[in-house]
Amino acid sequence: MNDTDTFPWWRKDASIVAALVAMAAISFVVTLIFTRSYQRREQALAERWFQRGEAHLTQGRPREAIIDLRTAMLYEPDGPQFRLRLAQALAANNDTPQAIAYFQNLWEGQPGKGLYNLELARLYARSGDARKATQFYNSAIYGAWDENPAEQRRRARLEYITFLLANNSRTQAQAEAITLAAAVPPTDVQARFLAADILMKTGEYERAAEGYTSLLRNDPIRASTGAAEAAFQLGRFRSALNYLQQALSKGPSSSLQAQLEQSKLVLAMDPVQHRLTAAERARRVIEAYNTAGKRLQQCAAIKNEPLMATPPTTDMQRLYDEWATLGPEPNAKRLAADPEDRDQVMNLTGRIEEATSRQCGTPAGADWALLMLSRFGEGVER
Amino acid sequence: MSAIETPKRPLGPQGLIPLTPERSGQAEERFFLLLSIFIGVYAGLAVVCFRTSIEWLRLLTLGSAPALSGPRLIVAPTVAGLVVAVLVMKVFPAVRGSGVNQTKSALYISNGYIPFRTAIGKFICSSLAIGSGHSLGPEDPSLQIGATLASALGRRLRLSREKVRLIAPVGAAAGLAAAFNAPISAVLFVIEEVVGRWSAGILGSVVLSAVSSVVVARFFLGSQPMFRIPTISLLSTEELLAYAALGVAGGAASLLMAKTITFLRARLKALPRWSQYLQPGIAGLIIGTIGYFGFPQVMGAGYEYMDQAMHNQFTWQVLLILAVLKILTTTLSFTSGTPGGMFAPTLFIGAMLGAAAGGVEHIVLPHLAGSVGTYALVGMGVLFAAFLRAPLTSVFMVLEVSGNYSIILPVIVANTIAYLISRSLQPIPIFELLTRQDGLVLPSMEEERDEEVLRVEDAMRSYTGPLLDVSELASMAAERTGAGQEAYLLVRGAPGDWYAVTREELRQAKAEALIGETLNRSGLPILFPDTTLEAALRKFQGYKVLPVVHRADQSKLEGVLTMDLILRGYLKAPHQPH
Repeated sequence: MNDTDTFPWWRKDASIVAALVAMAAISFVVTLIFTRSYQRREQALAERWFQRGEAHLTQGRPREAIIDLRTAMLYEPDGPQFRLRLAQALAANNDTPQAIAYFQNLWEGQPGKGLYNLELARLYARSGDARKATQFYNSAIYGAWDENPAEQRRRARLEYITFLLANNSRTQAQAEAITLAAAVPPTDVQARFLAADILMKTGEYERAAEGYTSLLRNDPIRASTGAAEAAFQLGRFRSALNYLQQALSKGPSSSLQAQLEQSKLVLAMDPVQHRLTAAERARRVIEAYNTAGKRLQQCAAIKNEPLMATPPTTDMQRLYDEWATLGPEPNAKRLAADPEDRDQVMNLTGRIEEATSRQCGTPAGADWALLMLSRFGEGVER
Repeated sequence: MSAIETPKRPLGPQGLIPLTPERSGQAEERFFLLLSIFIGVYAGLAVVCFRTSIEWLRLLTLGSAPALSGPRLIVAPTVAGLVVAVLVMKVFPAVRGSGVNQTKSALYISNGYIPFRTAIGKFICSSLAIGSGHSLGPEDPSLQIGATLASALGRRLRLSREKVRLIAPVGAAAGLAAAFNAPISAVLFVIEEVVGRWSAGILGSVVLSAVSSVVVARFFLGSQPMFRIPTISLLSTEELLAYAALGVAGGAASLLMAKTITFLRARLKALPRWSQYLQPGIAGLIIGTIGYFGFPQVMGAGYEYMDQAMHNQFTWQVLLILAVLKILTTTLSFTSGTPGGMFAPTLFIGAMLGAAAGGVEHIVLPHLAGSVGTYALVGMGVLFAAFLRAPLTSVFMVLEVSGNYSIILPVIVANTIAYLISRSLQPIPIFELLTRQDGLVLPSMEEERDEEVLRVEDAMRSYTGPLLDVSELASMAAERTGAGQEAYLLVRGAPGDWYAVTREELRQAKAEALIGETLNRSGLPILFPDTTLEAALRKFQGYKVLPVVHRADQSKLEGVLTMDLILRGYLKAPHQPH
């Protein structure tokens, strides 16, 4: 039996193996130093290109930002913010399919992250995929947010409501707006204003009015402006007048002033206001009769439609026929004495204003006031 | 002779640790396997440094912006070309070329000996050339660096000549695997193109080294694939027609590239020696000018642009232009003697061609065409199969890179068509053409694969003599010796036991004695009709004639074979061109 058989091979070659291991270790360290040094250089380059990209994004130059951020990613593919910012730059550059691809990729890593869901919702909304947009908006609203989650969720819901409104989903938007308003903490004045504003946008005027009036003490101008708008929309012109006067007392505003004048006009033309004399009621009815008649004739002229026809065939002809039957001018004494006659005339003026607004567009001045009186009827505060 | 042969020629400095000469054959086998892992580690580390150097030099010479622009596009490859030329001419003359042929030369001509300075030269010159924008790739140089490190280590440890010869391919596989981040493809390529044969001894070592080098490379460079693999789709089996068209285009492109390279290389080699100092610089100047005037994508290895092609970021016209320009720039870089590989350019051209074909098919046959990315991936395999003539590797490379088995059908269809076109129009593979230009004759792996193997059935003849059973030998021998012309008479024992006696033995010996003698002899080695002649030849040790028997019934004689018949068989075989 020779030495080869006596000793296992690994004992004989142990020193060689030890030398090989030592050499590998030294080579490993050298390679590590070399590659780390290059990686540091890459990181510095990545940071430099990222900052350039950020600057371009801030300046509203997404096209340049995309190039910069892509370069940054070339040097540091796993850069924490690079992919997100690149996706946002792509979205800003209207490169929707690519932006979706990037965000989808990010989303797959963290499907519960609110920001990714919100960005995807925006992109799908932009590309016209309402189903996916809704899905991602909901995920964003109930998703995880790193900072100030309540505020972020509120913003997401707000955006969702805007999306719903743009997509003619008013009922759903109203439901979301009510949910948003209910979730607002009473101490957060800004959020309460935001909720009231969005309720206004969705047409929930009653709740909006409540919201604004509850805020009158916190910010009287903003609250009274909002409350006036809500009251105006609800046809509560007396309340609107009060809030508008309150708002205008702090400073002039042409739009508020216009609303103030409109509210005054409506109230001034309303024949069923309290504390009016019978003669004044009759005068207002006759004025309404004459105003509506003129409007009807003007609208017919615009439409080149003869009003006198036997038998009348169109809406306007029928209304004119009815109007002429009551005229040439209703008797003031009769109107003052008989509320039914008064209501008949006012009903006719209302129908004339509705019909002409359909045919010739929304009127202004006294015609508009008559239209409001017709629409809100008993809702107009007296 | 001892179990471990010492090299006939000095293979380098003496080993520092004089343990190896006493190592037995079996121990050396085990040690060799262990050594393969170390070779993989060293090659992996070297390739990581090599790749990092290329990237660093790229930053230094071409800048950090992805959209390459400015005069440096022209200056960098030109100056780098001139520097590389001086280094190649004065310091590292062995580093010209891609590295594949040089490794094969080492294996077949120098008993696996590759000077260590080759690795240093290849490292410096290739990284400078590729980093500065020459249209070459890092894979083949990585292969040669790995082979050189392995060769140096084998000599240092004073391994046997056989092992030193084998160790270079082991290192080559490790280098290629680390460069490709694809161990299976690397193993297949080395077996298919460098070693040329499958044997358990070499396969184990090659696999171990490839795997260990990939582990090391992934530790440093990350485990992400080379490309962001796009969605791979095959719409229907009719789409295979579209891939067949891609195969035809790939075959034509590979033919164009091979013809251009061999033509230009021969002309440039014939120029005066002083011109070789300028050739890489001039190549760099032309490549840089192409880059400067709008196509910087053709500079360097171009992996990022292959990735972009896969993701449909170029129009089919641009893709086609890039493919043509890449053929031109790679030809210039390679034929000028600039060290660097052809794998990456081949993949680049294939990807561009594939994506262009996909783009065209999207327009012409929108109902047939899948994703452009799939076409780009298949295109890479097509050029690999047709230009480098490694069909098996090409299929596995695409599968390994894509990680998707569903791509296999289009890959096989397109690769086969491209390979057949290339083979029929250019029978000699590019690597063989290049070695012949260098005045070397290395075994062609493709020709070896195609060589007709002669078998026993091609040389045997039928037996005309009496067939004697041992049991009847005593009674029948005397009366049957006269029949036939055979010098040896065959005696059949139990199934598979065959003996031969001469007529003289039959005549002189008594029957009983003859039986005893015959049965005491060891039986003849038996042959089967499908045994190779080479294997049969090894059995003719002390025998004049051997029986050829049926595999299912070894007592059934099919014929006989003699040395003379073997010789006649070889002589009448069709001539193999070399």
